Amino acid sequence: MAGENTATVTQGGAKISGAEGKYLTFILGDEEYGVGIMKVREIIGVMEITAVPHTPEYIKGVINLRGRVIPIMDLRLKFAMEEREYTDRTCVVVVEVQGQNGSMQVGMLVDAVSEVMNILAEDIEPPPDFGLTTDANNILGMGKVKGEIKILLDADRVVGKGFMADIEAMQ
Amino acid sequence: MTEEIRSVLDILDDLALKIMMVEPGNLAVIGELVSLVEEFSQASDIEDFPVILKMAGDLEKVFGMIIMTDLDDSPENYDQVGKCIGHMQEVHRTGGDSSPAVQNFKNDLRSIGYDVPEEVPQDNNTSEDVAAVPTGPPEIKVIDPDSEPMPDFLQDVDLLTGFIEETSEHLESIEVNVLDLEDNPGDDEIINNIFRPFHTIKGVSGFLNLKKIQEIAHCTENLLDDVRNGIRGMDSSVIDVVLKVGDFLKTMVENIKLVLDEGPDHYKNYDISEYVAWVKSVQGGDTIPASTPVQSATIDSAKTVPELKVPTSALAESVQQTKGEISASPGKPAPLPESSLQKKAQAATKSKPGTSIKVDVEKLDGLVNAVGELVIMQAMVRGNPLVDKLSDPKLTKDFAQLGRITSEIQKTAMSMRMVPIRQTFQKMIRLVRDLSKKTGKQVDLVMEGEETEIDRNMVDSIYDPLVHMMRNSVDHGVQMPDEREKMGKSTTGTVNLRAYQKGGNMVIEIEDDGQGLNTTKIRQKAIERNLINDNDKYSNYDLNNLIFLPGFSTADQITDVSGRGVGMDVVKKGVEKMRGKVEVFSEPGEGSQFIIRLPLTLAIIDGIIVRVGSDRYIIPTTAIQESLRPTEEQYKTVQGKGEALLIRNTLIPIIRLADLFGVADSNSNIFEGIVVVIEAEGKQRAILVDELLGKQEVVIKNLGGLQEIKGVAGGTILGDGRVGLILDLAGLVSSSAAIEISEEATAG
Repeated sequence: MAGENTATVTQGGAKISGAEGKYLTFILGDEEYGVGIMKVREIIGVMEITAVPHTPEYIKGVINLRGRVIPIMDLRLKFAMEEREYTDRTCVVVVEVQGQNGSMQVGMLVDAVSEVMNILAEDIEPPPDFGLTTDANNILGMGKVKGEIKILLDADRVVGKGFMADIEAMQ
Repeated sequence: MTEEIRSVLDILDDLALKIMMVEPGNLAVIGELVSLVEEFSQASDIEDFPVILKMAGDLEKVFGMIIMTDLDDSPENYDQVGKCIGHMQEVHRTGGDSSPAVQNFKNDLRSIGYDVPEEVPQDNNTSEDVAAVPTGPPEIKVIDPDSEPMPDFLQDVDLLTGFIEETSEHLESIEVNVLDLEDNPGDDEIINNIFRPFHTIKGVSGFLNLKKIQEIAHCTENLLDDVRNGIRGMDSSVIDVVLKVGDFLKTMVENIKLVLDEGPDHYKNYDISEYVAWVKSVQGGDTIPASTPVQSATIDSAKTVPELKVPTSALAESVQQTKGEISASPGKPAPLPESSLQKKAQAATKSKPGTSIKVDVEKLDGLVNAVGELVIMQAMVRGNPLVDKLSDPKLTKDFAQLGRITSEIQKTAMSMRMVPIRQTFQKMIRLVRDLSKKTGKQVDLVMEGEETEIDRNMVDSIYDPLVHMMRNSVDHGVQMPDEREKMGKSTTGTVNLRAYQKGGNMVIEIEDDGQGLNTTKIRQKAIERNLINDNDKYSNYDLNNLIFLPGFSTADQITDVSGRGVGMDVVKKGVEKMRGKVEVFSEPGEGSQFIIRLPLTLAIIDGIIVRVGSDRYIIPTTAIQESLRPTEEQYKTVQGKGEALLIRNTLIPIIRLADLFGVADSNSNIFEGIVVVIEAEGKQRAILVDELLGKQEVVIKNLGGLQEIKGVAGGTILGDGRVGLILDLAGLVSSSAAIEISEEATAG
């Protein structure tokens, strides 16, 4: 499948594997992000969210996705950006990620979805070192497409693992 | 293993609990018992109890002998050991030395064949005088695993898994039929029903290279064939053989399952020679043993027992087998009596399984989910303002029809998860039979409502509580025949086991016509244990139901023959885990009645929907005691902070759900809200909510990745398609502990 992330990128000899492939890109504020298309299950509009107590702020709550209850995570809040009113372009990108207890589906609230694009290995750079201010662990790499930068997210890390740890810390 | 150092009492309690759960043939539990007994020597306060340490040494030896099969691995023996543990607890209670209890301990140990060394410890030759009774069933022995390699039966795991499953089913059906046969001896059809599964087990196990199972099934089959062909009669010895062989096969099959799950290291090489010899001796009892060895080449299975002289019946059987095949083509002469064949044919048609298929539970859950969604979607389409405007009678009619169909689908999907409780009930027949034989009591087990359906997931969980209660009823409820006669009752006691559905619940009743609970004694004990005050007034019902408290555990009652309540807290815990309730009614001298109420399914919960701000929550109905609008007189604060309501002289702390859950838009005026009084973990709390929205059965769903959120048990999809959270009351009670007023303040 062309959608598989297969190639590797290098920087200073260090290799980052599995970054080339198709990405769904979306907008958060002024930045554009991408997430591996194979992780994406579906894109839905915002529906009414039921708040769940004792969870991190960025967990907006849960929704009913065709009889299945899934958590919704506001990526703006997760990345410590300012919260904004939902517009009619606001979307939920449902991704399937590896959590602690196997795979789970989580909805990511984003400002808007842009497109699906193929990003070649040579167009991907490893995440730059921002020092301590930004958590670069969430980032697979930086995709350069037509002079624009797409921040490629590691969905397993963003919504999978850290997520459970944050919840446990709240209990 | 626990690393912490525990007190003698803790270990004793643990031991008392474990011994209740021991099943013959389950050596793993014995292992746990041994390590518990060993733990005594390290107990924190063992210096205070030198006598207990000595007793523990004896117990350890007894367990050792059971493992080495010098002592019977039988329920009778475990009961005796259980009594011994009771004596140990007695010693502990009386503060170290208590000669009657120690003497009882020794007597009970002797009664199972363990010779307690008197003051001068003797050598360990004591075990030698314990020999298996030649006429009784042999013990299950394991041969040294090194002496013989494990036969290779792991070639086809799928087949083997199927075999294990089928064989367990077969063995269960055998047991039920044998017990049935005991009441209707000579019913050929039942004999056939026992014969056939043995035959199947023999065949399949041979195919799978499980030689030992094959051999033992084979010789039992031979015995049954003799019975079937009238060569020997059906008597109690045959029934015993079939039951014990069934148990043995069960043990072997379980071991194979273990090997399959955990690896070949767990393989146990069971010694079947004694069993085979025993079965044969029973078979030879009434019939003239065949002196002429029959060529074993005729049937495959006989090859595995080359040294064995195949009795004539085996030949008959082999002929019959062949016959079975031939008879498919009509017109061939039948070498066997016509009647036997006809019956076989009849039985075959009768026992033809209903047309059912096995379905993956996950698929079923998927279906249930999809149907739930369908119901909601349909309501949404119907409620769409545009659709609503169309006042077309045909549309209205069609919608009504669609509604009927969807609710029908939903019902059917739900019912697919349900199975009749019959299988669980049937296991009780054997239990009661064994218990009554052991105790010398005459007990009739009357079962009703075996067809009542129960959630598949609850079948396993209900078994243990049921066993406990049945034991309790037979052991302590029903009196000995002579005692019964004195009281003007029939010598045979009756235990009724009923199941039925009532008001959205599944109810199981266990009723005996025995002596009933000794309420006075329970009261005494409760006062002794500081559970109630001397001058408290309690109804008999309240007192009787104290037996479910942990304070009334196994231990105290084992030495107390007239008492009841063996491990009743275990029953309660088990039932509550299934969100059920258990209670007891008793009339001294007339008997007791235990009633278990369970939700019909674990997937659905009956709840009250409440509103807090703009959020909705579901409170499980089982925990709700009442709901009310608080008045100013009832409202009390403690130290200006802790809030509580005085309801009927009980001060109940208030939980403000809005504060606890951080709901912003809730009404904070307590007198305009509603409190729902709940009970969880034995504590009462008043939960303040804005409004009660109604009662509804909701399907429990987990919250995706959000697990173990304090105060939230799960979610459900409400009528409008939104998610509502189901409250976890135990979690709420504990997480509200910080703002809770102290217990002393409550009492004051």
